[in-house]
Amino acid sequence: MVILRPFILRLAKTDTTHILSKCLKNRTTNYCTTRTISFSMNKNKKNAEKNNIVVKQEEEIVRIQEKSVDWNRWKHSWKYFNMIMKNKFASAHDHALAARSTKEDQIIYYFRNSGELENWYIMTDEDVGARSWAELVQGPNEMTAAFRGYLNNTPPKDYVISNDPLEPTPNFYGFAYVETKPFEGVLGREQFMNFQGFNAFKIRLRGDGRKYHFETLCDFGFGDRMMYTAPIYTNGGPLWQEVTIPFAKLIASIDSGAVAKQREMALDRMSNFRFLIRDKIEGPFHLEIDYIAFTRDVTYEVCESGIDYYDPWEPINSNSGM
Amino acid sequence: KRTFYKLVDIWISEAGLARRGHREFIQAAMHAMPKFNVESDIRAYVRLLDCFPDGKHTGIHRSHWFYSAFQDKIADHSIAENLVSQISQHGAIPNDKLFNKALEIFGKFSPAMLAVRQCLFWYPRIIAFQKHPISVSDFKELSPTEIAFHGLRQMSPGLDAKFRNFEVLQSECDEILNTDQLDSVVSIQTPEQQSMLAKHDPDSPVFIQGPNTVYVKNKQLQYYVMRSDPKELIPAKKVELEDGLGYTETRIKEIAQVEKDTEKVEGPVYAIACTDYTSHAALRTWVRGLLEDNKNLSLCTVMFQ
Repeated sequence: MVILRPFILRLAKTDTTHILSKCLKNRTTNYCTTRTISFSMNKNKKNAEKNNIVVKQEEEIVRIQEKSVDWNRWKHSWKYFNMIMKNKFASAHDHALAARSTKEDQIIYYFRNSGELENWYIMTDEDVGARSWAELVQGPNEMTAAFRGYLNNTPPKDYVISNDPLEPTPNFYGFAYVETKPFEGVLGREQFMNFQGFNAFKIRLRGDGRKYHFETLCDFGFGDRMMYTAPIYTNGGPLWQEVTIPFAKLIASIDSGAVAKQREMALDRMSNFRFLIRDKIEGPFHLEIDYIAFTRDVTYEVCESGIDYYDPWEPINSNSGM
Repeated sequence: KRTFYKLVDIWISEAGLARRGHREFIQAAMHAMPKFNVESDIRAYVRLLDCFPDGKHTGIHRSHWFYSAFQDKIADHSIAENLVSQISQHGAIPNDKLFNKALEIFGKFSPAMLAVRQCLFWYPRIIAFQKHPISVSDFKELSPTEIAFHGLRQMSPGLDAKFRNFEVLQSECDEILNTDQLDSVVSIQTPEQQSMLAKHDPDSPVFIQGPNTVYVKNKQLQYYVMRSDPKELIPAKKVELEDGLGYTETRIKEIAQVEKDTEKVEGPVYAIACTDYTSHAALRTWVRGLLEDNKNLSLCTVMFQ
């Protein structure tokens, strides 16, 4: 005898009754009882239809409508007064925050016109005496900005190599960078950008395959400034590349070298962006930038502090050292 | 490389337990490492730490957080700092052995240990920004085909990509190359690019754009791109999803408005290949090799730019 599994019953309802009756004659299982109950219920309905019996319908529950707020009466209340006053006299900072929360993305720079290249300026080795050059030009598409040039590792004449073996001078490597011009407000006062409400950068690039650094400058007040860097390893080639850099992964640095004591960024006071190249490779470089934007990613909200670099040796690192 | 370790062994056997002149020897060895081709091996740096004098009463060990500032023999610690900076410069991978050996010699509260701790802390976090990391010592031992593989994987990322290596016969191509250069054609094609090629109209031509360069770590590669002119994009249908909560948010999306502007100006890419040949005969082998998977290519005209 074959014992049928329950899922077969659902496929063919009409045939299983005969199979059940054949196979399960000698057994008394639950399957038979359920079928009998269903048959009995169906019978009642058919009988009801024959005798024209009407089944009662459920009564709809009527809910009392809540009274609406009488705004005419609340006009003179303290809450309403406060709301009006905040909206009228709120700073641009608060308005911008509210507007920013409605946006998923915000594009800061995109280079569709040649006039937008005036916001950036270039700095290279030449101020120190070396021989690398760079330029920022509208790209071949006429839609993007191209940062290109040639890096040279020959040190300048002023760079004296010391004979003291205990303090050897490090090797000289060329550098070049493109930086935004600072924002000036009333009476030449410096204005800052606000990153609050967002979690990450999103940049669309096309590079050489070389390593570029993306940096932002943070001002903590009273002349205390720090650059926050992140390396970008570009894929070369004809395809465009999108890079997402969360704020928590930016490394606090001085002269593009990491600092032992990392601290949070002040998202209210960010002033500059910079693309820096300081490979030790001598040769031409080429970087095309399409847009730079803010985004908000929920996956990057794991760390409560603003930085992802927890160092358990930090108290010892601060006490030791000369 | 073995001569370097022999040098260190000979010096340690000649100098006694006091290890006189260890500072000069260590600095000379650090300066001479590139000549022995040992700069990217961490084992050489760990062996050099054996040259410091052992013992309790050498005066190098720092055990107290306050008194370490008033103790002498700073030169030993500064030499170790320079050694650790050289590790990070040349791309050697730091070890637990480095940490433990430096702890025994220098103590917890020394500036040398600070440098070792920073090296061990930042190395994995900076490597995490790379997609396909490879160490400096491994990269030196790669053949040209393997370097081309790394370059192509870098250029067109994707797990489903297909790599092919086509031989170039001497009967077809007369060009002669050096032994360091790549003799064959290495090509890559993703399934998305395959489907785009299948939809391509045979009336419009397919271009192979000339030699361009890509950097892979330190080296330059030469590559060719198969591509066509841009065509009119069909706008995608908007799919409206139901919100289960019955609550709709209208948020402004600025990137989506700007993302596809370059596709109107630049055409789609169908395949990429790496060679060191510059003649067209070598590129014909590439086109013939792609005919297996892409039958629409046989109907198209291919032009060299």
